[in-house]
Amino acid sequence: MDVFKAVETYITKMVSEPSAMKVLLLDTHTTPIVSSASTQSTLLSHQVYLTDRIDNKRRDRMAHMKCVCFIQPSEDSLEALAAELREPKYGEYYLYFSNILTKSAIERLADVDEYEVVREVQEHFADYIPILPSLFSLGHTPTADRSLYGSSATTWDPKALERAVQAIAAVLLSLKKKPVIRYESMSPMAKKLGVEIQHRIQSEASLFDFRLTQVAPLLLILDRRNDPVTPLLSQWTYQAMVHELIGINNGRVNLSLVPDIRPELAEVTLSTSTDSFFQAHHLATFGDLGTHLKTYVQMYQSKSQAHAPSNIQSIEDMKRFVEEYPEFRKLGGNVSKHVAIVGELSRLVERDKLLTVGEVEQGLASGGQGADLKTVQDLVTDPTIPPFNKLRLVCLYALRHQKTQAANNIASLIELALKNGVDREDAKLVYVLMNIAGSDQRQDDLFSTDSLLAMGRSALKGLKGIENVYMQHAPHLSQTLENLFKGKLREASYPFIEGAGINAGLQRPQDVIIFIIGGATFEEARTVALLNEASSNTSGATGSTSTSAGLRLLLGGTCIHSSSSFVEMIKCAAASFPSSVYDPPAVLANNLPALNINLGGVNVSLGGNTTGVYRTSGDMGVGVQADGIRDGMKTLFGKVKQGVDQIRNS
Amino acid sequence: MSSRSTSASTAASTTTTPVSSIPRTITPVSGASAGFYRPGFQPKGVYRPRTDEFAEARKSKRSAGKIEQTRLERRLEKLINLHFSEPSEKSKTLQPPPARQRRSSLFDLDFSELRGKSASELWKDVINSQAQNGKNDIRAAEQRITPWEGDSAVSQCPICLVSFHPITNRKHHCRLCGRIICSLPVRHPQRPVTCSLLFVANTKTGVIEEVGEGIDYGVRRRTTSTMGPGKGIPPPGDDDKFLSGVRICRECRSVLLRQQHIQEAHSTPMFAKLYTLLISIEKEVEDLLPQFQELLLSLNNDERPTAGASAARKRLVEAFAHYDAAAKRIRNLPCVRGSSQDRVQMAILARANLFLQKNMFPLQSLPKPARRTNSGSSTPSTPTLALNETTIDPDSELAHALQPLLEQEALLETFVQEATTKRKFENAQTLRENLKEIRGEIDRIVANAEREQAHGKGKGRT
Ligand SMILES: [Zn+2]
Ligand SMILES: [Zn+2]
Repeated sequence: MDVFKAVETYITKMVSEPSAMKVLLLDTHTTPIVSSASTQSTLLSHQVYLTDRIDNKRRDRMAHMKCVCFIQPSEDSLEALAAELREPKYGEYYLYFSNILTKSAIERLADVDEYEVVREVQEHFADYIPILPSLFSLGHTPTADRSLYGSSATTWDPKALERAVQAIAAVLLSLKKKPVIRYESMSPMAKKLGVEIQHRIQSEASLFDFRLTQVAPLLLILDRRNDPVTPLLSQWTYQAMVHELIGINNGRVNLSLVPDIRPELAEVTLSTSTDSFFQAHHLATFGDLGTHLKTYVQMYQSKSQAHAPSNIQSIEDMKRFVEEYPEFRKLGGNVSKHVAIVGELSRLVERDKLLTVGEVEQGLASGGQGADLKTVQDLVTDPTIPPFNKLRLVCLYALRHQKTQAANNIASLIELALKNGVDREDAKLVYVLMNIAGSDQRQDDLFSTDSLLAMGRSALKGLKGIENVYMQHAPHLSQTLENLFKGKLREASYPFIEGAGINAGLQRPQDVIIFIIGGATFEEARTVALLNEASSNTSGATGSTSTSAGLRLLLGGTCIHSSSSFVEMIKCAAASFPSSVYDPPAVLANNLPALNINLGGVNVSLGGNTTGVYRTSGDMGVGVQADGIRDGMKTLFGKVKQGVDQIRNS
Repeated sequence: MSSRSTSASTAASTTTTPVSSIPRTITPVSGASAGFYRPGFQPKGVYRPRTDEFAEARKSKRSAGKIEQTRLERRLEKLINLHFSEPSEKSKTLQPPPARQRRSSLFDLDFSELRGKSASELWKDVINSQAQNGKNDIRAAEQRITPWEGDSAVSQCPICLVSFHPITNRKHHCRLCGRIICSLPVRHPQRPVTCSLLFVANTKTGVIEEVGEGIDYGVRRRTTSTMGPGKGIPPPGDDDKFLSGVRICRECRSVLLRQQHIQEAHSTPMFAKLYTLLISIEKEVEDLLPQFQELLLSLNNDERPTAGASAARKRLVEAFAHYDAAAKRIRNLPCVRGSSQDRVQMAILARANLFLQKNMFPLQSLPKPARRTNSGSSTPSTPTLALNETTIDPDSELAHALQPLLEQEALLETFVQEATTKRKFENAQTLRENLKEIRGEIDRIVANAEREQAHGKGKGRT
């Protein structure tokens, strides 16, 4: 279930015909899809010499070129295509659509093709953005004018729903999967999406008419609101950190704001498909990454010595040089790219005190050390910590303690955050988050000691990579998947969409497609990638009893979140929800005032500073060990930084 | 140890067995009845051709309008013939052609009329009759091609609905469909595009161009931007500084465009010819390379290459040289900077560089035949030695030392160019530094040689 390969195959097929000079026309929707799954040199090798947007009205006429057009069958794109066909700029047209084309759309286009320039009309279901072989995105980061939610956190925006149905149908078609569908019972949106997909599969029976696998694959639809914690956390593995701290957009990273960046590194590509170093280490923890990068730099240095003209003594050397040179050049570019990125990550971690913040976050998210009010208060009052990080801490504290005695402290923390640089509009989001993704909305307990203990025994635990204080948290998804593998995913919590076979619940699926409404994260993608890896390693061994053997997982989301895009999504969505979403949650409402802090906050009554209310299972041994590992992590940061500085100065 | 490795390889072979059966599995069969996909096997994604439905829909829509369309196309052909063909051909269309009126001049006038008129009156008559007669003839001919709508029937432009006025908004006839329209300029919002337009044609090249409004019917020869570069029409001679544009209505424009499209599709610009050449050389190289590689494999390292291998190498080298030349010619074809054409030409050069990079290296690994004659001049993109041509004997030790360096220099130059085109500036920078070093090395060798030479000469003299 490699979505990257699936989309790449589609695109290669589209651009390989006809064998002539071609222009490739795309729309806003297909541009990120093509740029994620294809490269400039691939396009050149298929004689695509020009890529342009179909809605660009200022394209020149080039009668001797042929046109491959890959667009979404949306109203805007169909209209732009119709205008193009009315006055064709190119000699012939090969039309590819990223999803199902209606009969009337075909007629509409046929009607305007007076020149009879259209040679081919096909549907190719490359209708989603492949990010990793086992991760896809719909590229829908919600904004005020492109909403995900309707009038509440449990209803879809109709356009977003249709888009999600189309994209998931495309994922299924591109992989030839006809799944049974389960969904998180707490989420009316997940149920709605499941029902619509089931309906689409049935109404397009001729498309979904392919050979089946022995056990039907599973489409598991989840809701971000059932785990609002994961997208709020600082990240400590390479790809996740880059996305969290700098941002990865369609495989590109914008480094233009990095101090003293060389102009050629202002924008770099970061993709596992074209970058072997990234492929090898995109899941590595930041500490390990430092070591890998150092080795990489050293390898380059030794090669560059071999390539220095003074070392080219013989014609043999020369020949070797000429043969190896292109590779060597690429290597040089790649080394400086990763050095720049890792250098910037180190700088940001230091600047924003993320080592300190991250440790407390991990404690709040996973029930370890540092979860008490005092620690959080200290960070909130620390003027060197950016307000956004304070907000995340308060959100995590609120989610963690919503139902404990410490609940009284939430309002006081919000108050404190407001006094310490957090914007009022942002502070309101703490209650919003509790209202739409709080403990009453979630179906599973994210913080229960039981689940923590279960995780301790879990077969998955070993997959978490280096055990350290920054890697304590495991996304809720890993527990859901573990239950699934063990056949313990309860039908009450994860019901089937009606229409699945009677025995569907009894069979353990081998292919599982997980889709998260409201966005997935790279942390979850890492969980999935590591499980896939473990599964392919164990499946070869005979008689393996490992729970994950033979499993293939694919993760997708409406978008891939960083903490800032997640908070932004909540902020935009809340604006169209009933205003009660800003009120303190019901449990708190009795003893807490509404957040009308613009009055000055003089009379705001707060619960006393109840220290030691939640100092749960953290036993001292673990704490000490964690400190040791944290020190190790800090030393590694030092090393990375040192290495980076050396390279810069050399 | 050995038994373990054996069992491992057995295990490997058993696991790979199913892979070899893939061809059987992927034969397209619809429905689930044919069996299951092997777990983990990734079939190609579903795609659905809709071309037949499209063609069917197009056909049924077209057939209705087909007759009308053909009629308009015939009219267009006649109109072009009437207005733009050579006078000799034109006379066939203007029937009966009263040649006297057509070619009226001062000498065609009735001399009996001349007596009672002043000089200026006389002159005016000449002009008027010339213009009027010509105009009337052509009008008559135009109306034989297309019946014109009666003037009295129309009081406002049917497209923009503005009322006609004898001075400010005159009536015009579409020469294709015959209806009356206006010639007012664009005005938002009621007239986002003009209701009518003028075109000129060249019967020799078949090129049809839209032209802007001129004075009366005379229009300046000018290409409108929407029509692209006006290739094909020769530069205006003295007698056609002003061509009569033929007016058609906005709705008949599609007939014109279709004709234009057909004409352009059939012409092959130099650019396209060169490109075809480039691709055919690429194919040639791709065919030659495997043969060459085979020959190469049969060679012992120390051995001199066989005649066959040398010949194959020579042919390849020539092909590369042609290829390189074709790519550069394409890049250097004149075009507007920053236009699509410019971008395409740049992209083709980038492709060519990639191709050379990928395929020229195998050539390096053949021990080069001793160069008795014609040293290296056939190697592509070697800036053939402006440096050593005059001063260096191709068989000298110096030449042998320089040759690889010079080849490398040339390669680096193409790399730099490529990196710059692809905006990979960090690569370009590294490359430039390397290039500098190589050049330094070349200079050093040449300087050394010169010093030795001078020294040797000095010695010789003493
Ligand atoms: Zn008008
Ligand atoms: Zn007309």
